[in-house]
Amino acid sequence: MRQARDAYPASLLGVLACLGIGLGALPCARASDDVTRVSEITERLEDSWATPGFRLTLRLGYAHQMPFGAAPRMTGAMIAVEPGLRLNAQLSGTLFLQYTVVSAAPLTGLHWVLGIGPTWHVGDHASLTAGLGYVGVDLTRGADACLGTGVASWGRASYLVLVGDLFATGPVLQGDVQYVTCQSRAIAHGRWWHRVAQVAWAFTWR
Amino acid sequence: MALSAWSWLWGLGLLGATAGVAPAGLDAPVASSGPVVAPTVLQGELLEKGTRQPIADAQLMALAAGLSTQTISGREGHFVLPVPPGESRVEVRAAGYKPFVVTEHLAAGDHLMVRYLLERTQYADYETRVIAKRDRTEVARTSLRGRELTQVPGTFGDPFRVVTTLPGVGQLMSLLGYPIVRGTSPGNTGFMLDGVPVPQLFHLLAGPSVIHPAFIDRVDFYPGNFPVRYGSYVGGIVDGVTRRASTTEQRLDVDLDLLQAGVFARGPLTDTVSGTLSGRYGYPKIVLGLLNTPLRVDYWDYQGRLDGTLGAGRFKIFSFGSFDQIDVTPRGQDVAQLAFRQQFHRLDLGYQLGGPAAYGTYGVALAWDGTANGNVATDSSTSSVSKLRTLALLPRARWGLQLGAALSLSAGVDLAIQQFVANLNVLVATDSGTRLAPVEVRSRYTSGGAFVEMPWWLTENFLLVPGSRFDVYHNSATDIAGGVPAEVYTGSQTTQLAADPRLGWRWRLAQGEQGDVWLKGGVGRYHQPARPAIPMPGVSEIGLERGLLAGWQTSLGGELPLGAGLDVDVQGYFNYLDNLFFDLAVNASGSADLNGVGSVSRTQRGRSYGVEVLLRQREMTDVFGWVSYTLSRSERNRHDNWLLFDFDRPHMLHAVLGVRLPRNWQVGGQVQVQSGRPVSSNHGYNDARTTPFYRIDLRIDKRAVWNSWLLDFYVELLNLTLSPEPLAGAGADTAAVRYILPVVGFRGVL
Repeated sequence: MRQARDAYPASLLGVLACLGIGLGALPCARASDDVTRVSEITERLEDSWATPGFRLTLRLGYAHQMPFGAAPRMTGAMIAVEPGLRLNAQLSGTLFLQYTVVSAAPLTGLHWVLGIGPTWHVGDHASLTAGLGYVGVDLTRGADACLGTGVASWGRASYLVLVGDLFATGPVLQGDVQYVTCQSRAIAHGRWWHRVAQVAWAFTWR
Repeated sequence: MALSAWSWLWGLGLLGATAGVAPAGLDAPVASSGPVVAPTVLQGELLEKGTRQPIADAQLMALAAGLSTQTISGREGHFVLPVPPGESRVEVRAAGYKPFVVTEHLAAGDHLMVRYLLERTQYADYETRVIAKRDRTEVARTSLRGRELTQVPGTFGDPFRVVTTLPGVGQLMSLLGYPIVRGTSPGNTGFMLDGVPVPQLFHLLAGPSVIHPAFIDRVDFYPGNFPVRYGSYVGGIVDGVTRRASTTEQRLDVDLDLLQAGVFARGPLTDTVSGTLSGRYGYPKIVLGLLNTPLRVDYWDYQGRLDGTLGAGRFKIFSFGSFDQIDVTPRGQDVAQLAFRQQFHRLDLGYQLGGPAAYGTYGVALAWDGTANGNVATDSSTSSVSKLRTLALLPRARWGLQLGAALSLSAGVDLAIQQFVANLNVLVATDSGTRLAPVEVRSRYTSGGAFVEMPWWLTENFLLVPGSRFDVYHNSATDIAGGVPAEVYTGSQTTQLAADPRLGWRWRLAQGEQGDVWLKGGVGRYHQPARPAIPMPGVSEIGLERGLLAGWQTSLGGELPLGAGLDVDVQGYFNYLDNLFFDLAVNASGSADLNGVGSVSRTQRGRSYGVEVLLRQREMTDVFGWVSYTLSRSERNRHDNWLLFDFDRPHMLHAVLGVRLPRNWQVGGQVQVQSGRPVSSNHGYNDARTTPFYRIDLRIDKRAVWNSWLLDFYVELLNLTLSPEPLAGAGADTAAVRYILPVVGFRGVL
């Protein structure tokens, strides 16, 4: 199940699900007509998104991991699940669960990051995030295998387009620094440093 | 002299009162002179957004030009509200709903019909929790309902899979749904639906249960000391209880996720009959296809049910079934070959008369089960398929009678008449090696059981539950064409008898506002015919001529309320199996015949003992969950030595938590930790263990509300830390599988 293509079907169907839910969340799908009335919206859309409460973000994208020194290059598709809590108009806290399918031939495997961090909301749409987390890798190259753990820190910039009071979406750019210690020396040296650049698209619900 | 506008309004108020509306704030008519002015009226109904249920007793107020009028909605949500002409701001307030505000424009004399949709502050599935401690007669039953069935993280929303998080339950592998209950093989635990045995609970591999979750109202789990109405098992009982549909209930439920799609529809057919139809189709082959594996997996299941009244009683016609198939495309081939297929079908007719004081229930089920196993070969001309099929008639009857305030009696009979046909390909030795030889076995199997149980409140606080069960099993009319290894089947006619006395008791030590403190215990004898270690449709009883599996089960425990809706249940148990064969064994050692049967068919003894703790949130709040812990040991006696059972796990811990958040969110997590299982090493049999395993699962649910329907959207992550699960070997030789299973799904409810 940890084969290199594991994330693709999940990603594809996850995108379709996100689009379906997002499109369905458009205000026009829940509007009044000649006889039926729904309550008038008395709050600005941006203000409703700034109110405290739970948020869920799914993020789909591509991660390019650039090594320092002789560490292996790891790139691949990425999917992240991020439950979070909006604390007030300026601040949120988020749990990061990110999984990358490494597909840098001949290296394949899985790379995951579990972390936590704050988000500062700049205006009604933009935000900046910092985070710290635990890194795991499970890589193979031919007959060789490597299991590794480490730490990562990241900074992210996001911009959300508020589609309605339920759904928002938008682009994400993220930069990471990671340190991983690998248990096998067969693939590369045992200690790796990586710079990571990620481009992703986020789907957020409140 | 014309009537004033207020006179008209009062008249409308009378009309509204007749229709169930009680308008307020209107004066009695006053006769006056002047032209007749038609009233301006806002009339309509209040409905709940998403479900379209009427909202009664909601307060409506219209405000315009400094004037206000108000009214209260009637039983069916209807209202009549006079308003001044022009622009009016209408507000609606109702307990449990968000404030509703709308602006209406009415000209003088307008009569506007409207429908207002109010959104609840929280949409939760209908939940009931019946805690009737006095009526509980079982010693070791855990019942699950509501969110506990469908929103436990790590269970795919599957009610039966939740049982694996309870005390006393181990697993073959964390993704597979075969429970190991107090150290017994999965084939020794009974899977039931409304008391009717089903040969499998789950689809193949990591598939869901074979019944649509919407059918299940409750799951009762007995890890041991189950009542006499359940016979022919020496492990535990998992009984799914379905809910009768009412003639006022209408529902359409469509779900879709990465692996399957399903539909559930229910509605009245006549004034007294309600119908339900549901089914699911699984398409993991799409995902597997993307993984470029030679496997193709298909599954589907269906359920259809009629509930109604007939004469003085109620009837049920329930049909359900399941199908699973795995095909493999050998390397170099273009055509897939059957590797494995299993299916079962049931038609269950039931009729119930009477009530709590005296009742009788009668039922008969027609069952067809089948399993096919393919011998996949690179040369398709040498491939072969073995098939096993069973056709059975299963009549049953139950009676209950309240003999007094403290004494009741229940009794029943079960019958089973089965025709078994097997077409096998068996390995036989030849001068040049081995070959596959076809064999056909036909036999008829009949069993019958009768039970009686008498719950008796000796005092206000002490309940004694004596009971007894008698079963007879008979194998007859066997025809065998071809040679069958003696370890599998001798074909002789055989009759086996079983007597199972059982005794349970409950003693209330204290009563309190938070709940009662109970001491409880049980002891009983249990028998069953031998079955495959892993349940397999088409093969229900084997090796009857070797006797019955037999065992004693004992338990002692207590229930204690802790306050804040928390209860703790602690039980110690000791089970002894004194005739055990066809046991689950993956570390088999010793001689094995050509077909691998000999090592698992030997007769042995077994024992299992331990302590189980369940700390659980009982009250229906925004939080649900439990912590279950099992400390246990399971052993088998080999050559007069007690050795560890192949799936003994001394420690098993599950922590489940679900929290309901505002705006219809629910977040939940599950943590499970379990000891490694025994493995053999160079030093001896089962003298080492695999490494311990832990898993963390996350589930997030969101309910979105549309005008006429609800959309449930969920994300579930199994094993989000990708913890490796050891399957075999110890230390550096451990063979483990590392996986993560993300599931995204949504369900529409109309």
